[in-house]
Amino acid sequence: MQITLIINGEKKTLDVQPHERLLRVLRRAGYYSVKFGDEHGLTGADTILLDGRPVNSQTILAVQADGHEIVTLEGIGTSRDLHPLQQAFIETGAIQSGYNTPAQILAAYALLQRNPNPSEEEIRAAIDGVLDRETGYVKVVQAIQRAAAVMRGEEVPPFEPLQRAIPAPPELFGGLWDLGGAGDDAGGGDIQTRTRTAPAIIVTPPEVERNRVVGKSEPKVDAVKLAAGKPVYTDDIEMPGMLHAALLTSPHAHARIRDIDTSEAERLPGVHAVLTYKNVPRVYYASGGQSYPNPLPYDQVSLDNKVRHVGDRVAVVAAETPEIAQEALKLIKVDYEVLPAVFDPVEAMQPGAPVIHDDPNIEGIYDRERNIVHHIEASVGDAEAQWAKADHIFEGEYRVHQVQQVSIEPHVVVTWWDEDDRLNIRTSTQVPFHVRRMVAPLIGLPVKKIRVIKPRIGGGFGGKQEMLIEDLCAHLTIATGRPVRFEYTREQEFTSARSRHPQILRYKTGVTADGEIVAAELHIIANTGAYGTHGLTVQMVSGFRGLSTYNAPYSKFLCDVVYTNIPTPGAYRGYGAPQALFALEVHTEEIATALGMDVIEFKRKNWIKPGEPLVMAVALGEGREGKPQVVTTSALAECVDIGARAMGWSEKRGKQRTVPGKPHLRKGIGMAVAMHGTGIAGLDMGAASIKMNDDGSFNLMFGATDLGTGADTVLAQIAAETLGVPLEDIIVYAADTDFTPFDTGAYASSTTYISGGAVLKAAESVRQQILKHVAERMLHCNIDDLELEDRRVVHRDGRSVTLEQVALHSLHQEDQHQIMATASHMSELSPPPFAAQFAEVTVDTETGQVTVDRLLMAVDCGIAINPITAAGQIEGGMTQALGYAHCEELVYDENGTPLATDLNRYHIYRADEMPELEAIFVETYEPSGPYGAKAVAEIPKDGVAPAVASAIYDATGVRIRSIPFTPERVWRALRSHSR
Amino acid sequence: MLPQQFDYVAPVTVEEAVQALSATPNARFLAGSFNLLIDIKTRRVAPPLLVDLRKIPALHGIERTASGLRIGSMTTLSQLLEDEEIRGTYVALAEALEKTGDPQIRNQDAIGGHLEYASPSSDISAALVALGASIDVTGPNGSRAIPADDFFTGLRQTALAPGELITAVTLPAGPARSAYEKLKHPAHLGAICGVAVALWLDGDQVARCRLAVTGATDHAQRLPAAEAALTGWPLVEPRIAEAAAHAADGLTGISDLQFSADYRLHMIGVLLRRALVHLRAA
Repeated sequence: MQITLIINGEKKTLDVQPHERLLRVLRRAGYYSVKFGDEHGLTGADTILLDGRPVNSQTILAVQADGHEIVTLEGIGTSRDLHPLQQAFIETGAIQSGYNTPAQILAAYALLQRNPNPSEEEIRAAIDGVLDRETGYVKVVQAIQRAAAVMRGEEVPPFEPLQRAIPAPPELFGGLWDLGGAGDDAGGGDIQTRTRTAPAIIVTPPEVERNRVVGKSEPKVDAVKLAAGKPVYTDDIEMPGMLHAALLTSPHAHARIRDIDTSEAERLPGVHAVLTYKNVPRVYYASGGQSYPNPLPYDQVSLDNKVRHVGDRVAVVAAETPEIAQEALKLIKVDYEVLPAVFDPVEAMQPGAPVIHDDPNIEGIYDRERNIVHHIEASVGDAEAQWAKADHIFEGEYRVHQVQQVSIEPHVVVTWWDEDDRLNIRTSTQVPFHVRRMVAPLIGLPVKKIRVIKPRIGGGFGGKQEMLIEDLCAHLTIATGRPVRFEYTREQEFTSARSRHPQILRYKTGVTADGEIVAAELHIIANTGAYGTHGLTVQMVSGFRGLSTYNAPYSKFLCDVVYTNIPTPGAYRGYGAPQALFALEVHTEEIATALGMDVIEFKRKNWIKPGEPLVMAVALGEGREGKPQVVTTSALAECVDIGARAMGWSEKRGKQRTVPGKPHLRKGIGMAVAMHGTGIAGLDMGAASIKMNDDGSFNLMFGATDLGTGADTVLAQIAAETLGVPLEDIIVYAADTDFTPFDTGAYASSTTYISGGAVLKAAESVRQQILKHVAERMLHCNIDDLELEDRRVVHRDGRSVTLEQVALHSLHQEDQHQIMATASHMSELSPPPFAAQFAEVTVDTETGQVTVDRLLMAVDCGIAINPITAAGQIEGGMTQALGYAHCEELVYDENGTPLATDLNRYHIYRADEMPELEAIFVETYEPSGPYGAKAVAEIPKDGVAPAVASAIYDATGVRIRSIPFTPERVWRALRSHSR
Repeated sequence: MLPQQFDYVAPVTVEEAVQALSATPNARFLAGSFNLLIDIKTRRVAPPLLVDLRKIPALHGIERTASGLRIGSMTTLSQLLEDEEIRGTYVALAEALEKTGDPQIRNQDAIGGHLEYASPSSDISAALVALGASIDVTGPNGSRAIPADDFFTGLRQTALAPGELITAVTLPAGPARSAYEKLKHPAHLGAICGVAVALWLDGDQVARCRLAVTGATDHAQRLPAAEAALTGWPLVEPRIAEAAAHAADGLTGISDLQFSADYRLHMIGVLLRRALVHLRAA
């Protein structure tokens, strides 16, 4: 049937079917800014304006919109004619992956149409229905306030993020640290701005002063296209003849497939292929996107005759439409022999428990009968001697649960044969090179016949450090010869993607009478679900992180990684550290309290100091022997001091604060310290190429994958700084296995440090080539007298040539050659970033509800190459970590069926639920990093849960040793405490 | 036709809608809840025909009547929330609306569809029970009005007969004071427990009161023991304590993996006390 709509002011007549949702019809008509986030519309990615009001286009039929007016982002502004909202989103750093930016801008646009001067509270309420997994909403709110002021016609000064204080003015350390952040309140509403866009920065090293591009809050290089809602994501292409894939998943937690009958499905008109274990080669692999050789065991195959969790793969279909593919799934008859299942890792290790991996061909399982996939034992130091020094021994058990990454863009891939009969894989991945190498044997093609393209990514957070669905889509293209599109449903994101490993952690710590930690043992039982992917390395990181901050001379790590029949955990931003640091920091605070020592003093006395070696570094590498590590730079002490002053720690801690007139409320303040890594020492490698163009601009190509983090921008800043050009002269292309050099990918907080190191080397090489050409062929001088600055090569005698002249001369006129370099970088070091994390909470003692009022993180990430994107990492990371501490939880019924399979039952923080978020950078200059940088991406995940636990203890006197702090859990803890 | 596909009609009168539905077995009204489309998408139901009620003018709008307020069933939650009289007189309903969903959901969802879905954690249902609303329905056998007290009958169960659609919600003259208190489920936007209170005062005496719970039980319902404890007494601490202590008497709680029935039932008293203390101060 035909419908007529006014879309962005233009009358459009469209052919639709009655069942089609408006989302699909709009995307088919080319309005790609409207995104799929979930079937329920709860991410809000599908927001449009219908007659001026924001609605979800996924939950409205196209026919229902007949005769109505629709506005999409394309109707608000374009990349050449940006709307003030788009402009403000770019300037303030409100865009990370940009996947939900169109929806946020539309929601804000609708608000500003009816209320040109909204308060912050009104702004937060207006964007409440657009979930954001990346920014913590800080800069989004700022952007809307700024745009509102511009639209009201007010004089709005050019956007200037807070300047660095070089060196830190003494008064900053003297208690005059005003972090109220009221200065940016453009809204003029009823409450003050609770957030500030720019981080406060205190620079300790002077090196950064010289820089022109590095250390500046440059707008992201991809921000304009993202703000304009251009079709840049995996799913934003339409290919002729493209088929749609759908995955049949297991309804049983553990079953053998006796037989599958696909004949009826194959007969359904429009179905082109049905794949099962019967017609896909049985090739063993591990899906984690890791360096060669991937850690054992290889316990997965593309499609198996056994299923090991609800949501496990059974069959995959390619059909003309998504509806036909779904219907085909229903016609597949599976004969299951249901097996007993086990979900608890302790039960799974007992004799007689169901054996989850009984295939004898799989190597590398530690104890198949007891479902123990890995058993890790590592220790350093003299146990007997160190225990003998201990005057007190403390033990504690802690439990952490399973949470999901919830990138708003689901896993999505499009595969096709190109004109050279090479298989192209366009995929939303953090690891394009690992995907190419890992998928090759599964689909029976050599690596040279495969090209993997990473377009813009709508968030990953580790969930896309996997070769998760590319194999199935590729199998379908091979089977049909047609392009195939395969996107997970939101439910499959919860049942059939990855998550964070749940763990039981037991600490035993020896302390002397004067509070020195002399011995520490950590025993972890980790649940790796149905498959072992990332199971070894996540847990090794847990052990390493859990035993590094306080670095006891005798340290021992013992760990069993156990198969169960829950959906498989994997990589999730933090990668084992959030689990360990929750336990470690709560345990450490308990010890301090028991000894009657001030918590901060006890930690300060024991935390690792610059110059000290990390005792467990060699014993606990990631899947192989580690490299010796020494702390080279640490501003942890300063982070704690500054954070404590900013929070008013000494005025608030231990004061049993109440709320006047609300006797059921208690207020508390808490803290934790965190130490993370920067890349995997001796393992991670990045490479980059830089090529000079006729006009003196440069192409920068690398395999590193920006998944919204701003990595492309940071790497371009490093190149621009080195080459003496503004950022706009660097044209970034990444990542594409055909056109960019190798990179291990976006994980382990490695991109700035490792890939940035490669960019720095390549840029240095290009710089040398430029100087050499000028010295020998143009100015005929000594190379040492030349410098690159402001797009020129300048001689110390004042002569200069422009880079354009150099390019034209070297390409066309004399000694013609392409000025170009490729460089690789790896590091034997992984210099730790450090942070102090503070939290303030209000606990409702009658309901157990915990409200987190404020989170502040003071962090030493080395030099922040781009303070705004770095602050975005902190704010977004803290918000995810808050969900881990507070409300997110994957839960199952007694049959192992996941209950939290949509965003109605798995809550991620909304704009109007947020605490105040603040980031303070206390910079050090890390000599091994590009321009002094360390990592910042993962450390904000580490300290929030223990800081909130510490604050709940301060408020109520009750210590809670498991997360999340949901109301009933807290209420029960309070009740048993008061008895 | 594939099960996820269906036909669609959008009649302009209630009679046509009722007729269209009864002419096609398993047809469903599209009454303004996004839940139905999700249930179809996730293959929980597969109606061959959807009868959209959105284009029936008689089902839209808020009308002042001699006895109170008549709300057309296709009025969106946003439109209700913007209504001055609801904000001023039916405060419990306004507070419940504010706490329901997100802006897009409130712009899209109509009150009729919301009630038909009968979510156990609906905020609005408790407010309507407390305010003494009645639900007007029309079906093949004519029209009737169902008191909100009797409308919700069980977990996602209502008193709607097959083929009946909700045409309006009518609210009687407003109470002196009303409020809605909610403990939000951290895993969704609904209520772990929500309590709506409506009080009719005679001086400082509670002449009449209607109290309702949602979230803690499988459907919204009155709190008779607590009502008895308050009626005829001044709104003072011992009576409030008495009402809170007996709030959950006779009720069966529901549970999920994060919140037990015990906890939810206990919260009824906690929230009731807060609502009463709040109204006493107002």
